[in-house]
Amino acid sequence: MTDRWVTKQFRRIRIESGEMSVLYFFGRLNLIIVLMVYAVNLSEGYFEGWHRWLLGINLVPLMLVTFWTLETVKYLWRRKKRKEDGKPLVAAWDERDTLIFYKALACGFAVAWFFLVLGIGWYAMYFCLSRPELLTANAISFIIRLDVSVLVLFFSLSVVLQKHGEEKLDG
Amino acid sequence: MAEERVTNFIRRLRFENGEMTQQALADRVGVTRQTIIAVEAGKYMPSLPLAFKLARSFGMGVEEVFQLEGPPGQTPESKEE
Repeated sequence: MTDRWVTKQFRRIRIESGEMSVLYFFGRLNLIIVLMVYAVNLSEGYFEGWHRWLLGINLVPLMLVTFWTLETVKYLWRRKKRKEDGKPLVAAWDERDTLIFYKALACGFAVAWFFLVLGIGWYAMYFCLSRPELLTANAISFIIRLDVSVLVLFFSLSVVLQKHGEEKLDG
Repeated sequence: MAEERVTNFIRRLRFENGEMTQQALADRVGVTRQTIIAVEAGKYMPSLPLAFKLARSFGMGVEEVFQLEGPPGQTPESKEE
């Protein structure tokens, strides 16, 4: 019974607090970081002189941990300040976020598993058959690191898409 | 066969309760504003505890806030007849 009259009346009610939910925030943040790292890796030739380790896929966990730590500190500080000012605390995570989180995780794991199998298969075929001496622990480690970045990428993409649809409902 | 659907009157109830904002309702029941938006739009079906909390926040019962809509002949009333 959501008739047009009620909908029309509600358009004039001001929506308080435009704060992003924690899951959406981290989803977007992760996506930006991973895409940035991919872009840097793809244009590696332009960044000669930089330490190779920084340009490698190792940048993903480094940046994620740095941003997550900074944001967690910021969140805790703001929460403390809200408490001190006597303002009500706003929920940062609820049952719907848990649902979205698990859905996104399932999506991320499915794609990451596919890439892991594909990556190991490709390495096995390319190196074991033609140049067996080159199959190193380093190569396996690279596949796993790349796979983690794929997991984060698809997990974040799924979160952002689900949450974006929700934001659109807001009008 | 048409699907069963759960509808709710949360939007109307908010309006009737002093034009309560989505954030105010979210704070009362301990969820994010985005969840209230999704529930109002029928895009998310809340858990039973949340449904009870939402109903209680308006001083009503769950069935007064949420209703199961389905094809004719599928409702409990019509089965009794």
